[in-house]
Amino acid sequence: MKFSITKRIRSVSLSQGQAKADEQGVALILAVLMSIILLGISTGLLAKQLMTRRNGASESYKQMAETAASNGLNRILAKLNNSNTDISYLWRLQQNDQQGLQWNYSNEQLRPMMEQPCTPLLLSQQTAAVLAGGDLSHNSNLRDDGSSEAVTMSYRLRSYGVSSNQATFQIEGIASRGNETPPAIASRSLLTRMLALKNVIPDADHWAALAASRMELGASTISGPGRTVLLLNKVDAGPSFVPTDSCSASTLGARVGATDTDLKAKIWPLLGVELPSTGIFDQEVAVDQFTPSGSSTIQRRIWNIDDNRPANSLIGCTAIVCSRGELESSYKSQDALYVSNGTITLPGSAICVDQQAKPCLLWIEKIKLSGIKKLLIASNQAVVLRMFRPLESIALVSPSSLCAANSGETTCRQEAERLAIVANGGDSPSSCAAATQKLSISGNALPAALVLMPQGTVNATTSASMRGLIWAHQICATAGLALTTTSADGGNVVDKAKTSWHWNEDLSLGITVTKGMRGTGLDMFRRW
Amino acid sequence: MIIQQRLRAQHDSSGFGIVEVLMAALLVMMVMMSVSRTLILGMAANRHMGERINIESEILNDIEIIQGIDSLASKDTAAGCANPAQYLQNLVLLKNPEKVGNSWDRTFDVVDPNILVIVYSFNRPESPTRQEKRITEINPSLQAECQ
Repeated sequence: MKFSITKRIRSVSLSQGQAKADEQGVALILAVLMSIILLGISTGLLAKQLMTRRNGASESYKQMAETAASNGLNRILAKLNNSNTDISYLWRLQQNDQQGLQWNYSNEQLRPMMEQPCTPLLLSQQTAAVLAGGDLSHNSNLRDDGSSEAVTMSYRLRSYGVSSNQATFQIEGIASRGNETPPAIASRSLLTRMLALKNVIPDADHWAALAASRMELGASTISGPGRTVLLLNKVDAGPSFVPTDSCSASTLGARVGATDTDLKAKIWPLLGVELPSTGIFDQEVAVDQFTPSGSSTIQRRIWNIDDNRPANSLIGCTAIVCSRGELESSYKSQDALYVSNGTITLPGSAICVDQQAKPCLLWIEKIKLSGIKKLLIASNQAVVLRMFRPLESIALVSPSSLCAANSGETTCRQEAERLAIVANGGDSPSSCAAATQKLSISGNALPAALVLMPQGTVNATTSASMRGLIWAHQICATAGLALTTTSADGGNVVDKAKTSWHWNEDLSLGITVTKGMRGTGLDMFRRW
Repeated sequence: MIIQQRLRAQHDSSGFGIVEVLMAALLVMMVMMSVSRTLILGMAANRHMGERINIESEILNDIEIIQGIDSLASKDTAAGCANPAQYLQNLVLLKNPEKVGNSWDRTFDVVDPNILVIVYSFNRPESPTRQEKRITEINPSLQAECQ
């Protein structure tokens, strides 16, 4: 028996006549075409399913690789920022193919190129291995998909660079699969991360109490927290730190001419570091100024004080205390106002008039107290004495003294932060005999002060003592300077100065520790 | 001669025989079954993929929340510097506790006081008896403030 639609069609056709030859077998062709279409659809679906599975696995591996890179960065940060195993000096070194793999340098190679050449170089092999890279899987298979091959992740430090206060890491994150060593890489990701670097001084004992580019310290001492910081030119002085004993107390003591054992042990050289600007005392101060008679212009008042003034040394003034407007050439005597018995008193009410809520800045042409008079600045606000011209000076010979006192009182205050002596003139002399902006002291002529003279000289003409900080281009104290850095109330001068003068957190002078701070940039991932 | 006779015979016959039709039907049925099976598997794979994306998104979101907690944490060095990782873990447990009903688990490890290790575990959507892990390590930003 035959059964077919074509039979019926053919029957009809036969009844109407003979079927066309080219229409015969159409059903077979249609069936074949339909089969091909169905086969194509099924193949497409199968391919899609396989791709979906593969994409799922691939996406997981990519995420693992990115996580690995981020985890690697965190491991490196944990090591570099660890205060207990201090290797923070690495922050300031390069570790890349272009600028050198400096983390691997020997100590002799490193010291001359470091800002702090006497930093203990404590990078152990174990820590170096963590910094270079490592496994992050904690001995576990991260993806149990039934295969005997374990999925793991790891990281590798590809490069590290530092420029100014910005550090840039490039870290590879790797997701791997397999039990062989090394396993096959399933996915890789490259993380580029920038961090801000910040210098931190841990405590007052690490701050500079004495700081200068050139020192002759003799029997000088420091009582209280603080270091003697020697500022050196990196190019000239760097090679001198190659020898192993270049950081010994005796070698450093010889560099500054020190004889005191304790002080020698507290010397800290810095290469390529400069003293801070005098601007750290300029902020938020009022300037002492007035309108000279005969002038309509408010001018800065220039003070010239000499208790043993040579005759005819000034125009228009032979007194002890003379002053003028900065645009005037003639001085006016101020003795009647300020000199009484053996004391010159500048009261707070007479300086920085109408601005007495702020620290007062006085421009000083000269202060010379040769043992006859005492100069008392009696103001409840802090006072800055700023030298006016490059070759002028403040010379104080004991038993004369220069000090700050409370308004209406005659007793010198022992708070160094109440009196700052600053000068930014001078020509960075290379000998103690050179004429320059100079602060000369002897005995207890300057009981308490903060001194900052980046191009000038501080000279102890005889054995001297003071409380405070001395940061200058040159400190000449072969006669011995006894510096006290504790405050009368039990604190320390550095902390008081930081608070009183609102020093910026970025200001640091002493033994610094570098920290990498997050939050200043975004992670950038690159896959390949 | 024989071929010509057969061709003539086919010309004479009208349409396919029953065997041909049955064979064709069998073939079509097999193809259709494989297509439907593939379709079902494909739909299942899509569903698993969706579940995986959800789980991984939730985990990534949790990691970002923890990183935010770390960034915004007060730099209380007195309380935190003894063990920054433990300090951060306590903050995370306080501010971002693990929610009930999550399709993943979260555990902490503070063996290294400077690294908080967070391990996320979840059952694989493709084979629920097997597990997958995501491990994140965070160096608490507080550590940079510690002396």
